[in-house]
Amino acid sequence: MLFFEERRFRAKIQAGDHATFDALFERHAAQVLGFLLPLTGSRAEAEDLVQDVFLAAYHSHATFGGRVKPVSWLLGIAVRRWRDDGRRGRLDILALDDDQTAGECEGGFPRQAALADQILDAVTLSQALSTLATPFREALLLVASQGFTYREAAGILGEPVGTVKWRVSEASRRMRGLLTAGEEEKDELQPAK
Amino acid sequence: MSCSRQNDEPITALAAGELSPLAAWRLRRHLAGCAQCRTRHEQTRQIWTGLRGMASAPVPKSLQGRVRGQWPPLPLKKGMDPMKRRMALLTCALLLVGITAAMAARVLTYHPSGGFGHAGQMWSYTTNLKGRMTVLDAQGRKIGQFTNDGAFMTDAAGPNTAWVKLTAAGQERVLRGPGRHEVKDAKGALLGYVVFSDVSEAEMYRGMGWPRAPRDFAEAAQWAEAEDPAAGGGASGVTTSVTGVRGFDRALGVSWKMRGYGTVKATRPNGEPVAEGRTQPVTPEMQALLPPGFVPDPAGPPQWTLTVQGKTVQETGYGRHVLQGGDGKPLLILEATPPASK
Repeated sequence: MLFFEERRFRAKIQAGDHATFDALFERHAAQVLGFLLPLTGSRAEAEDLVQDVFLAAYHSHATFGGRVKPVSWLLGIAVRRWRDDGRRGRLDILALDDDQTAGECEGGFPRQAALADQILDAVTLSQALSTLATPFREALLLVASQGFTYREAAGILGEPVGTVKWRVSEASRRMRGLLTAGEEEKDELQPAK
Repeated sequence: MSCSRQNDEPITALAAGELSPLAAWRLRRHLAGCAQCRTRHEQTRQIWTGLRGMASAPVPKSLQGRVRGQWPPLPLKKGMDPMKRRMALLTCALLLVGITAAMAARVLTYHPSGGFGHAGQMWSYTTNLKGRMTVLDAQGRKIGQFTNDGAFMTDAAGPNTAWVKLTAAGQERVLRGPGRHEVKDAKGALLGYVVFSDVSEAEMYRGMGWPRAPRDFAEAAQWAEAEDPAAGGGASGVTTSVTGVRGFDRALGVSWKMRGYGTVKATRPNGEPVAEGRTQPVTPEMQALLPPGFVPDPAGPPQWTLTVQGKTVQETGYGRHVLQGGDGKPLLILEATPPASK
């Protein structure tokens, strides 16, 4: 039954049905926003992009293949919108949620020799993420944060699986270097000026 | 002591759940014994857990209000709903397959059929014959003929192997092979014969040519000859061409042709009218309607060809002509009058 309902839901997406797009927004807006917030580093921009993504999805409803998950389709659009809008050049701006922008991060990341038993807070992580170049940040967010497999992430990004795998690994290593006192890390993953 | 495994990929893959069970087990075994890698793994795990916690973010009401229910109307609905379109396509495909199959079946099993009426009896047939089938009545007179070139048939057969399903006098029978097949009714009375014969291609196609109006009287006469009632063909009554009249009465075995202009009335000796025909000189208006090359006869006294029970008599002129049977008794009276003067 669920299978058929899902199929019907996907068919309605293809048909550009308004109620279905409302439902699609209901289901996936939080996840799309969760992906775009750390990607853009700006709440206003992320929210604008979410709106853009759903409108773009609505306008290109006929191109929805029905074979990919709706959320993968949406995130694929999000990535393309993000890249097309030329927003990646603004990465070095450390914009966080207004209410979360605190002075505690001034002067660098709170480095810890060991992270054991400590949950990293979103502020620290977002700051660290913002230092990664876009391709690395996209890959890491899709796999580590959104929980996609390498293959799914590769599909969303339109990149080979091997490339995504390597980028995730490098981004993860870089994050580890930033958030700990490791000296081994290199800076080649910083965004291009 | 420093570990030789400086590559983060296995640790990342483990965190991403992308390692095979064996590789994961091997890595865990290594981690158990290598403090350096264990730390790296633990740090990675912490970061990934933190990132996992950021996977979704509450959607503010303002954003919801900007998107939900704000879908613009679509410019132009191209085609129909995909599900319906798929169903429609499927239906069309099935229909197409069905029609093709039906047509194929029709072509593969095509057999020409036809029928005619004679002496109050209906004759109908279906056959695979490639050639000619002649139907004769009990007296051996031709009452029907069918010629087929075998087109569209997959099992067309020559006269020696062909079959014909014939229905005559309400009874169906199958006739096979060469020869002269007797056709009898339910009581055993002879209805007629069916003869299969070969026919040359040239003759076959000549016979199949489109009928066209005769171009002059000589041709009309030839045309009439082809349906000479003496041979059992044609129909009773009168046929007129522009410059001639012909008529016959098969029951009496009488036929006549009048070449010329005027009116012919046929009556029985007891005064019972049989037929009436009329021709007139060709006017320019009529000429315009006639095929190019048509040469009308000059006006003048008509020439008659009278056939009475197989004997032919030539006569000339208007007036009264009495056709006599073999026993000398009058059979039919023909009265010809000139066309009304202009």
